[in-house]
Amino acid sequence: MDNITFLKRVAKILLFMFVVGLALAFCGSVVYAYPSVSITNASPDYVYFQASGAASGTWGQFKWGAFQNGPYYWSTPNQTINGTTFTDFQYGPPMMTGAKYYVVACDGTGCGSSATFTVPAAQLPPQTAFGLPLLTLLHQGIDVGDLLNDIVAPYTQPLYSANGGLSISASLIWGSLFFFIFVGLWLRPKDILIPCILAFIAGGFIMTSAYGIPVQFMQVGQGLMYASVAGIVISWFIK
Amino acid sequence: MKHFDREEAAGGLMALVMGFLLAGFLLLVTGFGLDLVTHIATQLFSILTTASQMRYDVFMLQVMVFRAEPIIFLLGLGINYWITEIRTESGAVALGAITMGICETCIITFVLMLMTLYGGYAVDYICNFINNWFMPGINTFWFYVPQYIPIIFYAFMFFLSIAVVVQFVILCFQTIEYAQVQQYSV
Repeated sequence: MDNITFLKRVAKILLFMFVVGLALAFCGSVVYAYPSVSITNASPDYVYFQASGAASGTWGQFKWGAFQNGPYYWSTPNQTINGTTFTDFQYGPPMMTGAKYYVVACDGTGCGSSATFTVPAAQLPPQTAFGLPLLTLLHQGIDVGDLLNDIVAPYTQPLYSANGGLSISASLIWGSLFFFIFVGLWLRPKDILIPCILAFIAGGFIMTSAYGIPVQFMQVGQGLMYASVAGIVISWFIK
Repeated sequence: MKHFDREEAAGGLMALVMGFLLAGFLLLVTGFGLDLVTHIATQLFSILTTASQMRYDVFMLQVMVFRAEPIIFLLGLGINYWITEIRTESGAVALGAITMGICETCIITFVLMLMTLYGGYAVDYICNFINNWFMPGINTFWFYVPQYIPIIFYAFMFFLSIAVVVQFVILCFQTIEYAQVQQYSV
């Protein structure tokens, strides 16, 4: 065999190997098209996963954990893939605040490459101040004059958070108490016109500071007025 | 059935007002305790940063329940007063049973808050330990169910807090039906 023939054979072998390699690379990219994952809305207690390029008709799920190449200890429930995309979310634990996680999307053929997300820091509960009136009361040496305000304080403090939110006025709380009393009285003799008129007059006296009534009692007077006006109106209609 | 029993009616009215004032004072004292818990929580957990946000979310909901308990107590007293007026026409209020009921409600809510914060810390710690435990080749299928334990724990704590309030509201009706001997009378 001369040199030219040898070189031709080597060239044919190289060409064959190149074609086979190209074919294998092409086939491989089709067989191993694992789903890819994208992540949105990473908040301290919520993260949203979206997978694309999944094999339709097979099962799909997301696996996630602290290590880039696994093991991924946590996973979302299995779901059947319709089309080439599927989504899921993780709410709360075992997702920990401040931690970094890696997530992969898996289907019937296998799992894709990982994507990463970092959970933001936790939002700690705000410091409450429900006991502040007690401290004020003790600091004042249990001032009887201010006692009425302090006792109503738990009923009137902000409802949703210590630093703000819906608060209820003391007059409304006193009004609710008198409302229960008047309705209770009405349930027995079926008429409360006279008690309500008396309460209306008494409330009017208490509400004004002209008689030296302390400010705290004015709220009681206001509550009494609210309830008695309601009682008079109801009594009127019933008659 | 008693009709127009004046002593019981007067006692009921006084019980309503006194119960309202005493509960206000009681909730001031327990509110101070709650302030200490939130203070410790904010200080401690700003250092121990590994946490589930759900722990704090449930805790804040429990704080809201605690905050609403004075209003619930006022409603409970009022409803109890109405029911005695309707059923026995006496106007007596089951002050002892309802005050005990609101005390139990406050204390149990308080205990549930502590369990949520510190029990939750233990649950989160276990989760975080597993998360950072590198064991290649382990069958991750075994972690599928345990990963839901913290969520179940926090949901359980939240529903228990709601159940405590519901139990108190039921008590306001039950005291009349089954335990009339507990009614307050002068």
